Amino acid sequence: MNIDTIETDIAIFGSGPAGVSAAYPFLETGLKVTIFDPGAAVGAPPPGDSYLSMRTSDPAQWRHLIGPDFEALEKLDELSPKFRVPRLKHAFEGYLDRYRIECENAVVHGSLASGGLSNAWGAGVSCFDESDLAAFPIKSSDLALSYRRIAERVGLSGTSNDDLSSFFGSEVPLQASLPMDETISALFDAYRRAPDVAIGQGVRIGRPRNAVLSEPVGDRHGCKLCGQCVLGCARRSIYHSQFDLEALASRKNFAFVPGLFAETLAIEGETPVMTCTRLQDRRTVRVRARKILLACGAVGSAAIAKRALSAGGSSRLLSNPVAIFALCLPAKLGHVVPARFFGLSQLSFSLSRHGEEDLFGNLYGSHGLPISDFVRRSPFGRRSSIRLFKALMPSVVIGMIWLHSKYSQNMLHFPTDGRIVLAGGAAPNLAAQFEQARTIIARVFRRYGAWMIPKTFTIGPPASDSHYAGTLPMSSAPRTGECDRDGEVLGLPNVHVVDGAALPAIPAKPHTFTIMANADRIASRLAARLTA
Amino acid sequence: MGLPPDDLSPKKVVSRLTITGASGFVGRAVLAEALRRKCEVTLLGRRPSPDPNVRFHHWDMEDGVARLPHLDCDALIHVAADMRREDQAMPGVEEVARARELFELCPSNALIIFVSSRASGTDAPTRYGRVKSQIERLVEARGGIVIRPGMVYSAQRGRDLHSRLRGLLAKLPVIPDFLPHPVVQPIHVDDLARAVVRCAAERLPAGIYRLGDPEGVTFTEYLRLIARLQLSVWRPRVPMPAALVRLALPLLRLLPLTGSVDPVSLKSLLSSTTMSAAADLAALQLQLRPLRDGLRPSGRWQLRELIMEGSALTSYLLGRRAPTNLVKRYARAIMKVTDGTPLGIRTFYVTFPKLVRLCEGRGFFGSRRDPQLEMRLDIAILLVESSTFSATQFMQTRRVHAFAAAAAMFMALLVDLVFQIAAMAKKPSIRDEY
Repeated sequence: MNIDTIETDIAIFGSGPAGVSAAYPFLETGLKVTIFDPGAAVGAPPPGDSYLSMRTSDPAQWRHLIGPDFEALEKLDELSPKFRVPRLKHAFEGYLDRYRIECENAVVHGSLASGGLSNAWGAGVSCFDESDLAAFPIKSSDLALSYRRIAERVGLSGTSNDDLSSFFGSEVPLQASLPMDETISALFDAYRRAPDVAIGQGVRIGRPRNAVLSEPVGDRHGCKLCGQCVLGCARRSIYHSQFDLEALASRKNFAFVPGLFAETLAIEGETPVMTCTRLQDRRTVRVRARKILLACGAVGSAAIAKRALSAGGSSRLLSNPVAIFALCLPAKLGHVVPARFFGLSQLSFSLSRHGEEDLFGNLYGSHGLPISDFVRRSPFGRRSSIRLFKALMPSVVIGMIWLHSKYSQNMLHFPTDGRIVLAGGAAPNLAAQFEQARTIIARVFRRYGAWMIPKTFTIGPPASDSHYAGTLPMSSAPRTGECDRDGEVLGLPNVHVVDGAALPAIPAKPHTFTIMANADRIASRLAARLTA
Repeated sequence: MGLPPDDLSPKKVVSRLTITGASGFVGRAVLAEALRRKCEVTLLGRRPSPDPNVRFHHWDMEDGVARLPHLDCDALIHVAADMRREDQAMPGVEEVARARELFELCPSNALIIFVSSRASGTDAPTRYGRVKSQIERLVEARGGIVIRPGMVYSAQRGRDLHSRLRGLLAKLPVIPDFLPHPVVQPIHVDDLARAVVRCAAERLPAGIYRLGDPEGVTFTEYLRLIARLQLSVWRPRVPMPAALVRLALPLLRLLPLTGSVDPVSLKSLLSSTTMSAAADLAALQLQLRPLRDGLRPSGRWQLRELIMEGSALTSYLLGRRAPTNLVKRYARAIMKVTDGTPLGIRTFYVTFPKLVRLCEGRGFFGSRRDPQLEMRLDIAILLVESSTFSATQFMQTRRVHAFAAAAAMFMALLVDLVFQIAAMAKKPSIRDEY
């Protein structure tokens, strides 16, 4: 049987935000870097016109919203509309089958497509401060430079002078925040007039920080508020790691090899070797490198490493338990769907309890969301519910909240037969935590003229948040199944974890930016050592 | 469905058949069945078959047999009949004489099979029935077989009685509910044809075979099924005492809608009694296809059902009649994401889609949930929303006063409450129970 072999200095498995972030430092030193990924087929291009224009004048809009093969109808139970987008079907399909993942009381999302979960992320970003990094073997100063480099490359928009600026970290370059729509703006204005009401309850509200351009950078355009964020950003304003792959393609010491699925990892002497399957023809390809970096996502990277260690067994999968809710601002009844709006997070808030900020939330406008999602959950007849929500929706704001990963107790099991079993779990007091949070949030927003709509507060199933981490956590004294501060897995020399698997905790904050910065940090340290 | 497999063993096969009336409704089916069984067929009639293997002799009932050769056949299947109105048809004695002449042209050992009628009788109220009865006696004298079918029907349209009823029902705004309920005993034309050809090909014993649904269905139910399955419409039922209808029969010709109704056929229908068919069906080992299956148009009936279903559900959600492309999209979606089995929706809801609300399993007073219906509505609403003509239904694109918006919400909930109360009383099902 012919087996192809690829030799490279640095082999990075995974082309998501972590993988591409790890590539840059090595490339700067002249080392040969190759990124591998399974590279599933690309979906249809995103809609070119604005959401409102599409809805009122495009007779083929159903192809974008439902899919030419009615793909969205097969995902009616998905809580988040992101995972129903038909053109993104390619990004998610095959993931469970390929990894042979079985879920028990959990919902897991992953992607084999180039770009990984950046195909469908909410683009929220945040720096971790010292308290967030308490469980890490690194300090915030170790990440500062990486945060800046990533921010300059990716392009962030946000504010550095409101009540949430310190929460997100204030030492990264920012473009101007994207404007809020009328309803959310009214809510924020009410907060700014009387912030003590919220702060007294432990709530701080401010503008979000997003990896979305408000001004053009290179061939990426600034956001023009077309409202198509969920269906896809035709202007390339929302960061996608595919943009980095395109930028790296021109570098002579860079190669991108899609279509390979990493199967098994072995160490030959001190050299790590990954055996892959080329999906196109099922040929075996061996990849030998001085360093192998795992950026396959917390689940994938853990599976590869655990099996290479013959450890099998189990590991904890951290996630941020999530809930959604809807608020209504009665003062905005009768208003219209705006022609222009931003479809991702427009306002953020944090909740501190017992001296710890353990809850983070985002508020989104409701305009780009199908009211069918609300009608389907309404206790009234659908026709009446359509009339009801049509009148109601311009005054509605959607909220999502995430709790600290300490409230998740998901376990990944790696039986010897090659399956991965994800058993969803939560801390015993999770429901009580959410109930308390719900009460506080509802009370605070009510003081600002926003009423939580009854029966809309919905807790997502375990792991449905897609914030996965901690399966191969960094530690100052790593044990089997853990890695050191350079992400090197104990027992697997020259194999480094650079994705969410390396994070020993995820606070109630967006964590992708920190994953990218950590990948940059690790790669910078390794590159310096390799070229020393 | 239909008959058990035919016995085609060489000893019993009688392969040379002569058929009359092959251009008619029953005759066409008999010819098709005979050819399927690879019989040698000779047609007697006014038009030859396009099949070059079928022999043809021109024969017009009015002209007699003078120009016909001796019929060298194993069996004669006599289907031809003068179906014209009584005032236009040939005298009954002539038609009987023609039949006698035909029988005498056949070899003495040829089996005569005569397709008669349930209306046959010496004292039948119609010329048709009386002629059938007289010809039956000729056949019995020859030791032949008489087939008395009930209401012969098919999914195709033609000039037969069933098709005329269908055409009339398409124009009538109601379904007449005759009281007392006359009963019809349907038999699909293909089932009848198979029985007839089997009798001929296998030389079954002589006698009268009564073929039709042994239990029968009321005429009203028969019409309702035509409306449901063939016309896809709903019609309210209106009670009509049969005695009054008989009195009014002469007036039917004068009315625009009922002008095409043959009062004699209707009179015969109202007067006919149930024939006991069970024993004869058993003797022929004949299993009739269910009426609902036989009435459905052949081919893509599932798609048609889904289009009806889509029309009702999307029109309900949209608040007005949904456009065709949306309804078809619904049907395609259901076939793609489910097993494609239609709900079997009652046509009442296709006509009055707003009343689908009564069947939704939502409310505060406890309601019956149909999980399939709920799922289909969830699919339908996503499809309806993803269209330009629903944009103003689903999105507030015109600024209104907050009070007006609140009033619209209140009215929506009030209307829903009324439906919920109504659903408590009636608890209807979306599905047809046929």
